[in-house]
Amino acid sequence: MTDPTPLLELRGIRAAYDRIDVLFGVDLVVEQGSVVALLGPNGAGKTTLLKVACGLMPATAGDVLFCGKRVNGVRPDELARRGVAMVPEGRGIFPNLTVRDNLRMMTYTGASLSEIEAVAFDRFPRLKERIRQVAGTMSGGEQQMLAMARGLATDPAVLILDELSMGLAPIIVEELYEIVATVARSGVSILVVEQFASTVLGVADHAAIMVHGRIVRDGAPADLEQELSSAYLGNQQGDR
Amino acid sequence: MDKFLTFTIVGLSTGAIYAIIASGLVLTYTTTGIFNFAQGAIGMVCAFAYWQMHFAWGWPVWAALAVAVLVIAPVLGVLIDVLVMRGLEDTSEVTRLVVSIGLLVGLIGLAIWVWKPGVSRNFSAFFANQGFTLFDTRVTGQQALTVVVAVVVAGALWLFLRTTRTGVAMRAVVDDRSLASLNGVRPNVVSSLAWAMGCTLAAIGGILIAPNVALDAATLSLLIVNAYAAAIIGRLRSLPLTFLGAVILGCTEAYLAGYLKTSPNFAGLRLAAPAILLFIVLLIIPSSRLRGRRQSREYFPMPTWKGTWVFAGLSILAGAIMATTLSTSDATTYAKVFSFAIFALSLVPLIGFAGQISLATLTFGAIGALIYGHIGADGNPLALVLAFVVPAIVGALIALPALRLSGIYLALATAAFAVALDRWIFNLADFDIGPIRISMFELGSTEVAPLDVFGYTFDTPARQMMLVSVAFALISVVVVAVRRSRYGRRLLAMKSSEAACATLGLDLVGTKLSVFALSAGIAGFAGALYGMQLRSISPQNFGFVMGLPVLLLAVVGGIGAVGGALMAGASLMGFLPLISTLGTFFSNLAAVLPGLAGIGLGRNPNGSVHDMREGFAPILRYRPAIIGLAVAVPLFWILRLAGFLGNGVFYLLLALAPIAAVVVAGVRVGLGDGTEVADTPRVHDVPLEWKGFSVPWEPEDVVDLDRALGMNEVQLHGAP
Repeated sequence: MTDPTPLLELRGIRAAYDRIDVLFGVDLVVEQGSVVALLGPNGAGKTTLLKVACGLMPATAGDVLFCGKRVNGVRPDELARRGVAMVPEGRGIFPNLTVRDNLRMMTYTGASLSEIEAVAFDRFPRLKERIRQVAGTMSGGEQQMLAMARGLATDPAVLILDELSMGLAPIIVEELYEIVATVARSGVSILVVEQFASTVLGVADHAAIMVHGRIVRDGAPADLEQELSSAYLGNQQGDR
Repeated sequence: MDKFLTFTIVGLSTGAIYAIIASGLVLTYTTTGIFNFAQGAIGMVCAFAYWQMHFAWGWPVWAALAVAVLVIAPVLGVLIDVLVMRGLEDTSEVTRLVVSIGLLVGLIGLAIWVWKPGVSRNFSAFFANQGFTLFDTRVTGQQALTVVVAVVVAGALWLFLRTTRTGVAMRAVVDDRSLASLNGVRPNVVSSLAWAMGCTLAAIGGILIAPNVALDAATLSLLIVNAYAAAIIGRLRSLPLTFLGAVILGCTEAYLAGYLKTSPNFAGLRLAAPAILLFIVLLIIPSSRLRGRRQSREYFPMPTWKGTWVFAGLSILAGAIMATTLSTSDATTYAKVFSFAIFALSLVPLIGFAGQISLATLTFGAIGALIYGHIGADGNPLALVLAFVVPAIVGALIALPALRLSGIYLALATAAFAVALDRWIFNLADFDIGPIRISMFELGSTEVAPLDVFGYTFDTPARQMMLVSVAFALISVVVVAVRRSRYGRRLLAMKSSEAACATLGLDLVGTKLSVFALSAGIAGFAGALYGMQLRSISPQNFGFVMGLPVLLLAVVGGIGAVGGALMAGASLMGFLPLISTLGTFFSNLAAVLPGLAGIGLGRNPNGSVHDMREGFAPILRYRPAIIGLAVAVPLFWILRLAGFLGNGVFYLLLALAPIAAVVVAGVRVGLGDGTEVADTPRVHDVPLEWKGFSVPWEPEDVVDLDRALGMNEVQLHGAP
């Protein structure tokens, strides 16, 4: 956090599906080397915000700043090459490709396949055993590992994780978050979205709660833990 | 043994060409998810282009080949991707299939425009006078070449897709387009490349096969059936199995040619062999899993009874106006509007409601026409009932084995059925099955008697016009009744999610079977009426290629509504023949237009009837406009019948009257002068909560939504 310019900054983001607004001016900052957790109930707009951040969806208002530069309207493939790695909701893998071909897809961002494999297998040794397996036939946890490996292998500037825990057994979720913590210690900035908070708050430096398209609380994870249940029950101020 | 080897070599070389075309098909399907019915047509156009450059302009072989294969084909592929296929995201399987059928029809029209049919075009083989001897059997240079090219193509494709990053990216884009872009891939570039490669393979195949078959637009385009048989053996995924399938197919054809008795009954079997093989393969491949929710941006509102009766009345009125004003020859031409509208109508329950695809509409029509022609030789109306029942039974029988397949596979099975009948069965002499004598087209054409009801014979074009327009109106009402019934709701539910329906205890097979039978029956009925209009029917009237524009325009018109069917009939048998009379340019254009309409479907998958209804909506809200039209139309009609107006002026006035009414009503309603049928609450054709999902969201909907929820007004961006 020595660098004064935040790595990723979202300023007053508004976004809409067709004409239905889902984000109403969201501000969020990911400092260099920090882990930011974005929490909130179903339908709060968390995934939409991530989509805006990685270029999959246009913002109708506001600015997306990456390393201090405005990147609104930059195509997602271009952002990926600049170092924004996103692991989308569900399983962020290509189910019909083999594990190796999935990793090979990351070579578009500039790294060579051997480098990517070295990083991926170092972090996730289990993937090495599955190298020729079609990714969609692996277990959910393994698929999520592959998705994270894909995200990490190119040494991104920021890693965006959307609902890592979705559909996974709690023990596997914990395992995955241990990896997230390791990754964070190695200096990668991480923006992570979750619906259920306890695991992710243990890893995060900073957390925000989003309800109905607005950030309603923002602060240190320990402070927020108390307020989470009320946020989920929806009796917050500024929330109708 | 010699004979066997000779035909094996022929089979291998034909199979090699099928393999090339089919591998292009598999490539575009696995990389873009689009089932390209136009693959054969693209090869056809490139073969013609090669013929033009090499044989007509005398370019050297290498130059002509290079331009055809390396320039024209890839450019065509990129154009198809950018102009046509990009717009197809979130559209249904039907729409995608119809767009590629549109491409097929358009390319055939274009080829016939540029290269007049009926001219003999020499297309000699490559290495014509060269060859070598293998085990005492002569192998021509062309045969050796095709096998070598196929092997090279197979090897190159395998290497490309398995070992290069771009190849992997192509497969990745099909899996998840947005994830691929998160990986730094430009999905658009990848899909353009896939189309360019697919077209190049089509071009190679087309140029190689042209010396073996006639250089004819339809023949070459229909090689797609053969290629599909091969590709389906590869289950549209595996290139090695596709190559195997192509070889099996090529050899089957060759052995049939070599060993089958030279009886006229079997001549057609050889031509139909690929279609029959395709059908058999479709029966034995494992059925796909039931699919869950399929969301698309296509939406067809529920028809109202009031609107349906008005529509039926207007259809009969149109029939009556045309019957009383058109000359005999014009009436003969334009009466087909209604018979083709019924053909299109047969697709509405099947495709529009149930989401199943049939490419055999005209084939069922042919069966209906034959039944009526042979049994109703005295014009007996009961034969019309049989013309409905028998095709319905045949349709059910055909569909029964194919029903465990879904979507695209079912469409292919019906295509195989249509082609097999078209190429073989319809050209058979009379034959006996047990005690029953089955008559086809009697090796040429069959007479069809006009309908005779209690001594009243529908023997003039005008009377037939009335008969068929009334029939159309009645069947429209029946189709709307189906849509509004419990059964119709079941069809729609099945279209949305087969998996959900199965878990609710709905019998999918029975439902599909019945809607298929209904559709085939309506098509058979239409065929009988069409046969009466033609008086003498032959297999050409009901060819597979003839049937494609019907499907195309029915979908373009709006496959979920009966109005779309009338629109299809009117454009196919009304508008196109009308502009064809304007000159050669326009008749050529008329051949291309259905294709263009199909290609443009991605822009407006709900069909044009939907837009027209929206366009005419102001009339319904302004009573004077309705009254004005109700006075003007009969007035023009009386003036025409009294001889004050010619047909040209009369039909122009008829066309202009509704437009004028729309303009006036639009202005008046806009001004809100109080005379409009106003102050009725806005009627929503879908539940409010669907707005923005199933149908576009309008700013005014917010007010209604707030009212319904008892909320204060929400501020939306973009709203005032």
